[in-house]
Amino acid sequence: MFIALDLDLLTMDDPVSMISRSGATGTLIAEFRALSDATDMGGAPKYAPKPVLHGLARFITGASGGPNKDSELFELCHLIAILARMAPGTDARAEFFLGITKAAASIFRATIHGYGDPGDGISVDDGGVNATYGDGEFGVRYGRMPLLAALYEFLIASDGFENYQPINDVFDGLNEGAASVRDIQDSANALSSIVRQYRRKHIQRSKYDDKFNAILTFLRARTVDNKIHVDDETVLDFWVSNNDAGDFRVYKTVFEGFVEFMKSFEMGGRTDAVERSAVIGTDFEAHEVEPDDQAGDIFSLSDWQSPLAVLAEGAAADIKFFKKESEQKPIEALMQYGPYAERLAMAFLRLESFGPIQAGITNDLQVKRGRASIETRITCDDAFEYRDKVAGFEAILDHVKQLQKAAYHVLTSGAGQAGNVVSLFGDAPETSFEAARNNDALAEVDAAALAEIGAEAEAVFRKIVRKGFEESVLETDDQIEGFRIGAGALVAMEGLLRRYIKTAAAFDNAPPDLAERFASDRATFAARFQTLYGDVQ
Amino acid sequence: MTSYTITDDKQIDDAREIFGGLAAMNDVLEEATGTDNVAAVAPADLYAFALGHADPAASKVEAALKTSAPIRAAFHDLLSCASDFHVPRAMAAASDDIDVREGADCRISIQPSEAAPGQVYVIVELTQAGSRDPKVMHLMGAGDVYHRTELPEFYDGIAQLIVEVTSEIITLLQDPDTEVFLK
Repeated sequence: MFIALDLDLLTMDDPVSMISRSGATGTLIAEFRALSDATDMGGAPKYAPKPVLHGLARFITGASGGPNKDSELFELCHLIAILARMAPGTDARAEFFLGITKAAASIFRATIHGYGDPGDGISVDDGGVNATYGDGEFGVRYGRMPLLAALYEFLIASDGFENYQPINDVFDGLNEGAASVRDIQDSANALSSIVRQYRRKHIQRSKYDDKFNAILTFLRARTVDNKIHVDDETVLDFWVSNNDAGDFRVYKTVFEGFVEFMKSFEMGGRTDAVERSAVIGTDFEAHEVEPDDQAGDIFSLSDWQSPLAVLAEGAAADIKFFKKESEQKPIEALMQYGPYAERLAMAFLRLESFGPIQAGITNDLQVKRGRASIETRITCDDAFEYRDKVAGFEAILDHVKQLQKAAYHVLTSGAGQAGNVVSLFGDAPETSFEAARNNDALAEVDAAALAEIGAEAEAVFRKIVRKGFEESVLETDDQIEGFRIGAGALVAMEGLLRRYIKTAAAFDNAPPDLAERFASDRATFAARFQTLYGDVQ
Repeated sequence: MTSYTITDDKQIDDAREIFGGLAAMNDVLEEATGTDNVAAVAPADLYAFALGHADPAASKVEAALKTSAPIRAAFHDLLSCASDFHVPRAMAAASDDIDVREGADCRISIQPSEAAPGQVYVIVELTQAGSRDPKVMHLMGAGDVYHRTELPEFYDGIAQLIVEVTSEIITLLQDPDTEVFLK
């Protein structure tokens, strides 16, 4: 079957000089950065990197794909209509969205509860605020409000505030009283139109289309049927054979390009399904879905979030689960790529070993360190051996298991904590460290065994001497919450590390083993680096 | 190995669109943390500046107000919503030497200082009992002219500043095109 690769070249209004080194304009980057640099009155970031800024970037670039990629606008319009009915004062909207406090669910919850009697058609509960219209109802959860606040700020400041008035006019229309869900939808559509123009103007899609087409063409040339296949060797071959290196000169760029390529096919399949089944709205009888539900569905399938990012936020951030250099840094990339590192296990190991070498060469060139340093790096003599990398993962897995025990102790020891652990470790709280060892099922673990587990967990907790592991945390709700969040992340980390180590072991147990693979790859990378950088001064 | 079956052109187009979005998202996230990009003015910075809050971005906001018409327009809108008192532009027939400006529930007058001939008093009076005392005065002149000044404490609804007669604040107050916002 012939697939036409028609490039959708979009008209760029910006001068080329405005394009940053990526495909986004300097304007877009500066406007996004205005929010990523924003601080609260204490100097802490106003918006959390994840999920808020990550979510905002996804929205701006339309990365979630599908017909409803602007569903956040629908939510935002609902929230503004709700505020118009609840919040007092002529600048209530600015005060709500542009205040100098951290954009956090708890802050928005307190603000909304502070408005007092919500009046007819509005109900407030612990999860969020709900509005009833003539033709339906809609709820906005507090947890979504930080993203919606960032989106509000981004929209009104977009294009150097050129869009402020038209966007404000849409919002003012909601202030005058949105009588129906239809009114909200119309407002969201008006905003969508502005956003579409912004994306066309500030994202140079042709650059990304070229990358996609290069990978697709390469894959299709290696197959005779209508299937394309991605594996470790494909990634390496693509990098090595890419003569007009350009965007794909750097192995890391190639690896990430393939990861995004895989995601795009997988998300494309899902958005197809969404397109068939879901219309945004609240007519559940007609199988309409709320935007949040739909977003959750899309992201849960392939939008892996690094557990380390989870540990870096909120209550968990106050607990030193990992030492930055020795315990966190070695697994950062594995946690970042998550399931894709598993699926491209050898390609990932190559990235871990030779990526730093190439980064060093690039840096040498940028700072003009001289040929001697580059020539040393080109040999790849300093690359991490694969077995050493895997051994590093094993050591950190041991540490993760210790942390799980400590978390288990915190979550089962504090007053009123009984039952916490169930939601964290699934139906079998001890599976993550104890039953796995014994190969027992929960039903077979009797009270004595549980007591033994608890004692072991307590001993581990007491042995860890670092911030957040003091006895006093058992009395502090915030820190217990930090361990609750942390425990979930630790379970995800353990699973990923276990699976990756198992895959690496399988490679090592069959010829060529990891040592042989490393030797062969080192020769390949050294040769490629010689081609790319051998003559560069 | 991961395999994908190509079914039709639409599948490719959809995947290409998502790929572009994902790649652009990664670029935006990566570049926004780089050191060679400067942040634009955030609406929250404008709002904090309008409220008179100490804000690290204040100098950036002030510069933007003098160079960007859209940012001035947005700032004007935020001030209109947030300020406690507003003195509109004076009537077109007013003379160039206006010494009194009046708005709803407030009055701003300029009076010479007998002690210091080169200086004048700017007297801000709140005429509505129980009004919240403003902390800052924004003067938005014609074109790109803008000036902000802190207000001293109010006593019995009156605050007064002493300034040079040639100062920007006097020039602006005497210009009928200048709008004043007190917050």
